Amino acid sequence: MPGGLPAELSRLTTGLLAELDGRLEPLLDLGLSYLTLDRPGDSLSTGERQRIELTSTVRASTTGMLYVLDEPSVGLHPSNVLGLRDTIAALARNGNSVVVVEHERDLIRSADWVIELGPGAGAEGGTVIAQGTPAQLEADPRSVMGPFLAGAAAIPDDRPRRSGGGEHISIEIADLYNLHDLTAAFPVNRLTALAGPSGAGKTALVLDSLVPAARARLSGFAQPGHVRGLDLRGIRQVVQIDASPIGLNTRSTPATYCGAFDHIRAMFAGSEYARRRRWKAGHFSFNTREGQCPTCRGLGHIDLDVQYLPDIAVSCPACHGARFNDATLAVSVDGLTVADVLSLSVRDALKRFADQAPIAAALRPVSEVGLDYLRLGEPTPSLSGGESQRLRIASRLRSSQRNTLYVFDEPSTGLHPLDVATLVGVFDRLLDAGATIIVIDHDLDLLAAADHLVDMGPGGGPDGGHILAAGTPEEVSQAAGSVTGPWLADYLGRPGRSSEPGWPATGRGKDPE
Amino acid sequence: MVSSRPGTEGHSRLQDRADLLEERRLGGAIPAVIGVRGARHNNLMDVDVDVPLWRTVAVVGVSGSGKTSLAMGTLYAEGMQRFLEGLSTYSRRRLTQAQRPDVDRIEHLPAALALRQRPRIPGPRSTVGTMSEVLSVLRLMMSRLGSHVCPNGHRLGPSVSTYAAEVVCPVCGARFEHPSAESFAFNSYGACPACQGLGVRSEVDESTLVADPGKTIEEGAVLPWNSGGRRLSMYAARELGVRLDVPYESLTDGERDIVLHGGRSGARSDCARTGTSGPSSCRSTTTTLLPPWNGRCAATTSAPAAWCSASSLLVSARCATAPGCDRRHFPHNSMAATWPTSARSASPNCATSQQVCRAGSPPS
Repeated sequence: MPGGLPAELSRLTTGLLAELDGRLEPLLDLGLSYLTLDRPGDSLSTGERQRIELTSTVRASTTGMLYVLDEPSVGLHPSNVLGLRDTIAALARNGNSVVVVEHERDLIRSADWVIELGPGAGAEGGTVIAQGTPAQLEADPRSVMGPFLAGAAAIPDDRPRRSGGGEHISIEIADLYNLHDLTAAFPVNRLTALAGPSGAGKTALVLDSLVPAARARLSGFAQPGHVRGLDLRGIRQVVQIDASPIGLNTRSTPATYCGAFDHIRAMFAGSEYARRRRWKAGHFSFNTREGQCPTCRGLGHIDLDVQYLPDIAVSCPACHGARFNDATLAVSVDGLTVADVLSLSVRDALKRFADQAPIAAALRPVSEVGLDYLRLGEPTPSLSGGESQRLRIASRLRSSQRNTLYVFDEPSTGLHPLDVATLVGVFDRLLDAGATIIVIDHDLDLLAAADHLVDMGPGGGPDGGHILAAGTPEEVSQAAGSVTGPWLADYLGRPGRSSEPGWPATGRGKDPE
Repeated sequence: MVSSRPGTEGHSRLQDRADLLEERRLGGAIPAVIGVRGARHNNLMDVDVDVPLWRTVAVVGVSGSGKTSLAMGTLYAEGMQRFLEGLSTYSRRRLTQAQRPDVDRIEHLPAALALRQRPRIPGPRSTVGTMSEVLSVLRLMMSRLGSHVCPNGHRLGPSVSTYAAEVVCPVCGARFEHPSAESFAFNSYGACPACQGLGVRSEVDESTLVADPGKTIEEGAVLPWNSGGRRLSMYAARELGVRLDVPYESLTDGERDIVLHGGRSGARSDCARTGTSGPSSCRSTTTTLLPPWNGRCAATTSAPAAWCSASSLLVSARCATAPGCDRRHFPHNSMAATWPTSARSASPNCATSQQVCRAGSPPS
C-alpha cells in the first residue's frame, strides 16, 4: 500500500495504479518514454502521434477485431522497430486479425503472410502479383518486393555522389526542448539527411528552428527567441514539401496542378471551330459555367442525398463523367475532345503533344518524377502520399532552384524501395537545378544516398539533443558513438549489396542499448 | 509487468487459446480467411484475395499500386460499414459520409478499426497526457486519493469520505465539496483563468512595435498607430505628455512607458485635432493606447495568433500567472493538495512536473 494511504482505500488505489500502468506501459514499449505528459500534441512528430494512437488501441485488449494499420513504422528509428513488432504481434496474439500496409522490411519479414499488389502504380497496378509467407515471397520471381526482402539495395551503387566542401548553412540554438547550445551545419547544394531515434531533436532542430528562423530572416521579422545565430549562405527561399493530399475535391487534377491544362484549353480555344464562335479558353474548363456539364457542375459525378443514409456518389447521368457540356465536347483537336485529353495518361499526352511546346514543358516534370502513368484528369485528392509529394516537387522543377532550401519531413513515408529510388532520382534533379535539400528520415536506402548525414541522439527526450556524428554516410557508419552508424555499417557493408539478407538485424545483437 | 495487469491473461493461457483456435481452424470449425471477391475500389482490378484471419498480414507494393485501396478503402471501409449497420440510421448518417467500397462480396469480415498513416494534428488543448489518456487516470487519483484542504485551511488526509458528495472537515466542521476529477483538468474546471488552460498566451512583442526608433511618433514610429482609426491614440499620447516630434529613441523612459503601457492614472483624456472637416474631438482611455490584442487573442482556443490581424507583432509567451508552474496552470484554489509519495514513484513519468500544477484544494 502506497505510503500515507489508509487501508480502506487499497482496492481503489490498486485499481487506479493498475489503470495508470496500463496506459504508461504501451508508451514505453513503443519507445515514447522520453515524452513528458504536458508536451503539446501539436508539437509531436507524425510517428509519435500515430504511436500514441496505437497505444490506446492496444490498451483496449479486444479480441476478434480486424485492425488495419497504415504504415505504423513511420518515423520509427530502426532501434524502435522491435517494440512496434511486439505490439503488433500482441494484437494478433489476443485473437485479432491485423492487416498492415508497410514498407519497413523488418516488419514485413515478421508478418505471418504477405500480399503484394502491383506490378506498377495507378492503371498498371491493382492486381495481386504475389502472396505467401515472407520466405515464399523472397523466392517468388513474380514478386517485386521479394529481392528487397532478400537484401537487395534499392539505390544503385553507381549513382554519382556530390563531394563535400563548399559552403554551409549554419544555425546555433540556445534552448529548445532537449536542444541546448547546439550548432548544426548543412552543406549548400547537397542532400543532407538527418537521422536519429524518435525524440532525439531532429524535428526541433529543423522544423522548429531552422525553418522558422530562416523564414523570419527572409521576411524581415525577429528571429525566434531560442535561435542564437543563423547563417543562410545566400538561401533566399525555404520550401517545405509534405505528402498531404493535394486539393480538396475532384476539381484539382494533375493537369491543373502542373499548369498544362491552361495550355490545353488555349489550344482548344485556338481551334477554328472555337475561334469562329469567339470561344475563349474558359469555355474548355469544367470549372466555368460555359464549359461545365450543367447537371453535375463539372464534377463528373453527383452526390445523392438519401436522407437517412450516407450520401451516394453516382456518375453524372448527363455527361457520364465527361464533366463538360455537349457544346464544348463538340470541339475536337486532332480527333480528341477536351474530355478525351483529360483521360490521357501523362505519358500518352507527352507523345501526342510533343510538338506543342508549352503543354509538353508543363507535363515533362510530372513524367520526370515518375508519375507518367497518372491520367491528366485524375482527381489529385485520391493520389497516394508519395504521389502527392512527387507532384508537388514536379511543379517546382521548371525553374532554377539556386538559393532554395527544400525541407522534407520523412519523405520515405509510404514508399516502396523502388519509390525511394525514384525519390532519390527526383532529389538529384532538384540538386542539379541548384537546390539545397534537408530530409529527416529513417529509411536506410535514403540515408545511405545522402551526401551529408547528421546523426542525432543518443536517445529521445532528455537522453537526446546531441549531434553524435556528421559526415558522409560512410564516415557516420564508422563513427564511434553514432546510433544510426551500426545499422548503416550493416547496410553499406552488405556483401555485394544484392544477395545476402543482411538487412540491419534489429534485436539480433545490434541494438546499441 | 504485462501479466500483472488486470484483465490480461498470462502468456501460457494465451498460448492455449491460440492452440485451441488453430485446432478449430484446422478442423474447419471457424473461418480461417477473410474472402475478398471482386474488389474494384480505385485502381483495384477485380481483386480476389484471401486474407488470413487471426494473423498479421503485410500488404506491400509500390506507391499507387493499390495497397491502401485494399487495406483501407476495402477491408476497413467495409468493416466499418458493417459495424455502423448495427447503429440507428440516424446516428449512422451523422457518423460517416464514407461510401461502401466497390466490391462484390467480403466474407468473414470482423468489425474493423484503423490507424491512419498521418493522424491529424491535434488542437492546442491536446497534450501527450490527454492523447494517451494518462491524465484522466491522474485526475481521478488526485481527486480520490489526494489530501484536500478545507475552506479554513485544514488538511484532510486521504479517506473514503472523499467518496461522498460533501466532505465535513473533522477539525472545524466546515462542509465543502471535494474537488472532482474535472477540477484537475486544464480543459475543464481546472483551467487557469489567465490562459484558459492553454498554457501559453499571446502577448505583444514590444520590440516589434517600434521598428525604427530613429523616427518620431508623428513620422510613424509606433507601427500599430499607423493604421486607420488608430492615429487618434497618437493625440491621446500627446495629451498625456508624450512629445510627438522627437525621435522615439530620444524619448524619456516615462514617455515610452506611456506609449507602451498607457498612462498610470487610467483617466480619460480628451484630445482634439484639426481635420479637413474642421476640429473634431475624440476620447480615449489612457490604458488602451495600444490595441487590446491580449484580451482578444487569449480567449480563442485554436491558433490564437491567427485571429489577430497584427499577429506579426505578437509572441507566444508561456503563461506565468501562478507561481511554481509555467504551463496550463490551475486556478489558485487547486494548488494545495498532495499525492501519496509512493503512488508518485509508481509512475515516475507523470508525477515530477505534473504534481506541482495538478495538486489542488476544492474550487470555491
